[in-house]
Amino acid sequence: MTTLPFRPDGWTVDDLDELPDDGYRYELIDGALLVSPPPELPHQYLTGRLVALLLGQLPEPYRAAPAPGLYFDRRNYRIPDVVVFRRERLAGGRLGPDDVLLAVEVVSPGSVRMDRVAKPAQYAAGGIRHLWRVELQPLELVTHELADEVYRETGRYSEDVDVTEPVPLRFRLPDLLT
Amino acid sequence: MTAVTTLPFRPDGWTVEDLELLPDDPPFRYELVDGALMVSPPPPNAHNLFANELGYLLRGTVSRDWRVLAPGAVEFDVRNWRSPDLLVVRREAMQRKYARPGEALLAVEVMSPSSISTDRVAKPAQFAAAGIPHFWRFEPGDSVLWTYRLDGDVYRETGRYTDDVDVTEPVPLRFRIADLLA
Repeated sequence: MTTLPFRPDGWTVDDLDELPDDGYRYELIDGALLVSPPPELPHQYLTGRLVALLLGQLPEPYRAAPAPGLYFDRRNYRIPDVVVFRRERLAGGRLGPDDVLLAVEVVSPGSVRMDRVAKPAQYAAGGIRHLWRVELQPLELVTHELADEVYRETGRYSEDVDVTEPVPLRFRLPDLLT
Repeated sequence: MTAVTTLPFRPDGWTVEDLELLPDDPPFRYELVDGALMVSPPPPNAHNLFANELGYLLRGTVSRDWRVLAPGAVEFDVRNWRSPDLLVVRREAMQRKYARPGEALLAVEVMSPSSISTDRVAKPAQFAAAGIPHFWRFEPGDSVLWTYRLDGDVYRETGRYTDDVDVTEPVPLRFRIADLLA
């Protein structure tokens, strides 16, 4: 069982502390609450491998972290699977879309619609330049860059990944699941 | 004491079978999106008034083969269930608990502060992908009714109305927006 505080006008970021710490992801979309079950093991494993890989290859001053809270405004709060951000943010303060160079969403069967439609729209509105989507079945990386307020696909990879944007990175995609 | 609501615990996500287990006090609105639970605050009265009055107009216009529901319920699959503010569906859909998208003619959403991007982005994309032929959205802030028609697998705008509405699809209908809210 999980309990939610009642907010007749919708929830805000001030309510996040009152939401239960029960393993679910709680996100805010215009003040509506989106409650997602914890991701499955392959999703979390790939996320962990990707963060490790990014930390090994990212140039200064960039860092990567899994599943941080991302504050768009009082009624919009998301938890991307992975973000690449500037090191300065580690000193404290809330992570906002301006701090994020790249957001990565790993699409598990439980998040197909949100990750392909709703999240890209919200990230684009927030001005996040780069969005990657990793599909698990079959394994594929789709890279996007913001152009005129929408994401344009810039590449698709299922084996060797070799990108120059947002920073140079080279790796084998299947390695993320071994 | 803060009012709370209690949800059943579903580590693998929620399905349509869980819908009847969800609490209806206080009156949250629930939808399922890929097994995630979207919890929205109750809509304001003016929101319900618009959906009800428009539903009344549609009810008087559609043929006997159709039913008008406000709100409606559409089961896309076991992990995706939406409740449009107004839904026109084939009469046969009444034989089951929830309509299937292929049985719907028109879905209407009345936008709330807590459904802006859902009603402008997520639902149109989902309804279009599922083949619902007509989608309308009323935005109370500017009092605008947007009408869309399916073209391939996306919606194309067919009208933008601020006062007098005069549509021929999916059924001929003329009314004044202000009259619905009076």
